[in-house]
Amino acid sequence: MLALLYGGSATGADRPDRDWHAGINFRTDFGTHPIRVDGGVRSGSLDGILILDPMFWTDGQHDIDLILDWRFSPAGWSAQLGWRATVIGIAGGHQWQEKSLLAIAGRLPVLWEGLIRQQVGLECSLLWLKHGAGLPSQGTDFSSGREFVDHLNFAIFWRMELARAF
Amino acid sequence: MPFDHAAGRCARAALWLAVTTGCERPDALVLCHNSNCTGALDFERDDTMAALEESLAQKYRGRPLLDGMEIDVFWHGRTSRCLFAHDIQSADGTPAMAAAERVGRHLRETPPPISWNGDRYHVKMELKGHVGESLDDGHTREQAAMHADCALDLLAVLADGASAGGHRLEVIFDSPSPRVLRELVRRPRWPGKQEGEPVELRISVDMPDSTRSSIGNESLAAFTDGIDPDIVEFHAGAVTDGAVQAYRSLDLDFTIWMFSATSENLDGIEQLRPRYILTSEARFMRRWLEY
Repeated sequence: MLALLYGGSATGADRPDRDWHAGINFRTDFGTHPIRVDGGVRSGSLDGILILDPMFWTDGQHDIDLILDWRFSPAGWSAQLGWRATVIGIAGGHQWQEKSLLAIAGRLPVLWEGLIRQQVGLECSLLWLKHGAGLPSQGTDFSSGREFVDHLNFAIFWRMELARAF
Repeated sequence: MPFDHAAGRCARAALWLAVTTGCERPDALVLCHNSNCTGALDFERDDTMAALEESLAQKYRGRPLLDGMEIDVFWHGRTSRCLFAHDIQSADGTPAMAAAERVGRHLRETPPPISWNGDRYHVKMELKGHVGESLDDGHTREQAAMHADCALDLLAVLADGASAGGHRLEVIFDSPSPRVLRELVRRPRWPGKQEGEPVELRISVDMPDSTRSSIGNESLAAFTDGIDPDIVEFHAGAVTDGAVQAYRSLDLDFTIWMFSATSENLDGIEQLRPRYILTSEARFMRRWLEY
């Protein structure tokens, strides 16, 4: 996979300046549902991505991500910065858990003559604030490991998306 | 295609997705982490009598909020004292007996239901696996025996309280130290697990984390020699799939502990289906389970 990422010849070198895209976001870690849907608009090296969670009905938890992807390498490497609002249904209300996201991602070869793009990445999330549902709000404190170790998490994701120029 | 046929396919697909991704909330027992589970995280109040008092008093929908309480029982090696403490750094000298007597009084004076589950009250004694400054300061055999004797003294107080109050009780002896658990079940006073009796006893293996300390590196095999554990306790973010399979092969119940009830820990609970949840945010957890 690293060779594919490094080579990058088939990762969309002939791509247009702008496109919209929609696809599926997979992950295996604890933290969000394993399958979510995403969509966005890319212009040049910047890509705005919104990820929604259609599996919220299974357990009342909804993770919404807003991400800015900056492609810094012709080989397909990009850095991502984003925010995740996790909405957790509990009896009598919803608690929100607000997290910042930082990721490094790389493009995989395109499929079906460029119709489908793929991206894999390593993401670091940091929970900053829990609030809502009449419970005490809780921020993150870095004074000891106990205070933040559960708030820092890592995950691997894989995105497949359909892209169209406009 | 008729609508009801399509709806049926959608429902089956939804059910498959829910089952295969383990997204349903489990039916688990909520235990109060470090005797401190009254609201926002405040680790400074862990293992204090004030937090224990407030934690015991919590109600939800007219019932006790909790299914049980964790009491940290630390053996202070240098002074040979049995303390209600997380470690030597946070110990304020409160004897573990003071915490047991307070919970025993709660059992004696509280009318039914004594717990959210309405059946038993659960007390988990975490018998700390170190006796000094470092996690590597393990027990000598003599220290392990004295620590075990202290735990049995606490059990007697709790059992008396439960008996006087007419409650059923489950006491879990949990430790990351196989030596302490082995000494416990070898003591002449060890009454056996008393399964089905008003006071049931269970043994829990504490696999605390992946730190490179002696207790963090104990293997599961060390706990199967003469101990006969019933439960394994771990953190959902620090356990491997292989370890989970090993625990399941031994038919152990799971306890999942956490510092903070994050979505990651909640997903771990959904997927690993513990019998016990050890949390400092008991009210949030109860409302999450009751959603």
